[in-house]
Amino acid sequence: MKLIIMICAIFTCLSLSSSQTFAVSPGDVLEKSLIETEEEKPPHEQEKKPLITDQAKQEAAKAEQPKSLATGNNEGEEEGEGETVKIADPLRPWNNAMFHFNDKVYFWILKPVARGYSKAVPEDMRLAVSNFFSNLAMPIRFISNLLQLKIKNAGNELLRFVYNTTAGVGGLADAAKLDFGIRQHDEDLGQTLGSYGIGHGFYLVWPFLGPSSLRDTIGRVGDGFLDPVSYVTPWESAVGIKVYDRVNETTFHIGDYEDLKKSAIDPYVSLRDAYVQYRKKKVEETDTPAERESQSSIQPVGQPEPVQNSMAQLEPDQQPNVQQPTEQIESVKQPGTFFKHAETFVKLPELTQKQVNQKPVEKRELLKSTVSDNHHGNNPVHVQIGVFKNKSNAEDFKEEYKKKGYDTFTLECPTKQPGAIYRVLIGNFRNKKEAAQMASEVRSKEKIDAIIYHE
Amino acid sequence: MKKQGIALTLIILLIIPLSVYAGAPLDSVKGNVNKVLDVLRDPALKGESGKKTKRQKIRSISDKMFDYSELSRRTLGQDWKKLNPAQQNEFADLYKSLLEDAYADKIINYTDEKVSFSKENQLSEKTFEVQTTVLTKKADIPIYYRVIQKDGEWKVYDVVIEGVSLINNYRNQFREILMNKSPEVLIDTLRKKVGKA
Repeated sequence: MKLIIMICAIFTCLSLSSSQTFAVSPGDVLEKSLIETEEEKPPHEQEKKPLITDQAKQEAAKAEQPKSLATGNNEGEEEGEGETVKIADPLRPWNNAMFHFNDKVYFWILKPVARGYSKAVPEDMRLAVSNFFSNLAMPIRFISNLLQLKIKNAGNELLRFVYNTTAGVGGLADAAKLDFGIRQHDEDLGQTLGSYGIGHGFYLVWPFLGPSSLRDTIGRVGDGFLDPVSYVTPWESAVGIKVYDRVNETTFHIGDYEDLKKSAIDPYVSLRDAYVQYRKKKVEETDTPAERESQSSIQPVGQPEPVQNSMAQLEPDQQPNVQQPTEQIESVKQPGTFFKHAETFVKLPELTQKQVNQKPVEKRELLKSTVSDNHHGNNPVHVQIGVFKNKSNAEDFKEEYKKKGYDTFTLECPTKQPGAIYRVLIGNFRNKKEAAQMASEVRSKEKIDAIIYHE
Repeated sequence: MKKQGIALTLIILLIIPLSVYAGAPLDSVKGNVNKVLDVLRDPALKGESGKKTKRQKIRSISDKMFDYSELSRRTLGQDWKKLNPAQQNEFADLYKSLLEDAYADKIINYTDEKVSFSKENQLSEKTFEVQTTVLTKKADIPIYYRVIQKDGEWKVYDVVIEGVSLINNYRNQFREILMNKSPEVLIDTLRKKVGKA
């Protein structure tokens, strides 16, 4: 009898722990589906490559000429090779000269000025200035998102602008991010062109402005028209404002360029490559995977797709449990106030409208469960968001997330060694399903690791 | 009897996940990064005097965390074969010093940045990408560690910061040299850079 119980116990915990695997590495299934969609991408990629002009090909051919055939069978190499991004550089003499010019501008002018400025102005003020300018540049992001048909991101940008300009006092504080966790969606016209499959053309370094390419230069000119600062008259003031913005930004990056130079064998090539890789990422990965997923699933608009399906795609760990009664969805279809709606809309940029709509209900349910089921009788389940050796660090972390509206507490756990570790938990959930929901919400919203913790 | 069973289940449940995840890429990276963070935040190592100890400690962690021969091989890609075995070894050594000088020294200045570990992606049969974010006041910087399984351990062979892959960045630089110069010149350039000429 005991043996049977033992075996049962082992099976249960194996199955449970395997479902917990999802809690640790979220969205494995999602990842796989993403990898699949990404594999479908290459045709698009291939379209792009020929546009990177023949020059690059010639250079590459020169480099690989005789040996490429001789060194045939080599594992490992190919994976790395495939990712190399190349850019044509026909104007290298000019670019090189401009690279050295900008180098001097940085070390002789920009850096000393930024240093002096950052000594005079405290960091928080500089952050506020930075927020102000990026709030002002909203039209660039808004239009670029629209042009890429990222309607939700564009909407978020608009909401951010309205909220940050009012509640964030003219954009000095990024209140939308602090209050609702809605992030900025960095897009510009260069990226937009890139998303249409247009390649860089060739590498181009501008004096003062730094690395760019033919495509991104065109994008930048367009951005200029969308940037309110450009319309300041006289033009000298506009330039002055832009220079100030630049100095202010530089204060946060002093040392970055030095590090690049220090670590590079050839700083020119290193910077060129970093630029191309960075822009490539910006073009490709404009959203978090979850957002990308939601955007693809938002397309069948109007079609009453069952919630279970989209949830299953998003949250594999909840798959078996998401049998949401349909009334829930209906109940939230009732028109709420603008702000309530806006809040849920912005709070969960990663989720589809439908999922977002159902969120408030979930929230209420969670609240109920935390309030009424507070007795620890049924082995409550918590969501662990951090483990600390230091008690005060744990307390700080707890407070931080308490402010964000989570029901956090710390739990002291003895360890084998003398001393203890301090877990920061969000509690108490009636069952694993609810905890898993919260964990995935925390992961997607706060970008931190969250796992289920059984007391 | 039933109660015993439940208790037993719970006990095993608490133990098993730990052992199951010990080998997961995310946990491996997390463990190493946390070790580095512990060193950086160690109050006993504050100030200039502690810097040297910090540097040493970080280097010993990075020795275990990274697979420099894999990293070197992947950096040079198809050019790797242009080097003879002795050159390959020396290249890996010099490259390692270069990276340590450049990055270990930079990391030392960090103290209060938080790192969050979001997830792991499988890249190929043996390789994973662990996605982390360094949260600074100004911005969230995505740093992805690419790891490969070697002898039952997960070793880092590439670091991707804001989309910029370390080995890809160096590959382009080394390739320019190897395009019209011999591997010896490349190694000599590295020697000079690291200060071991």
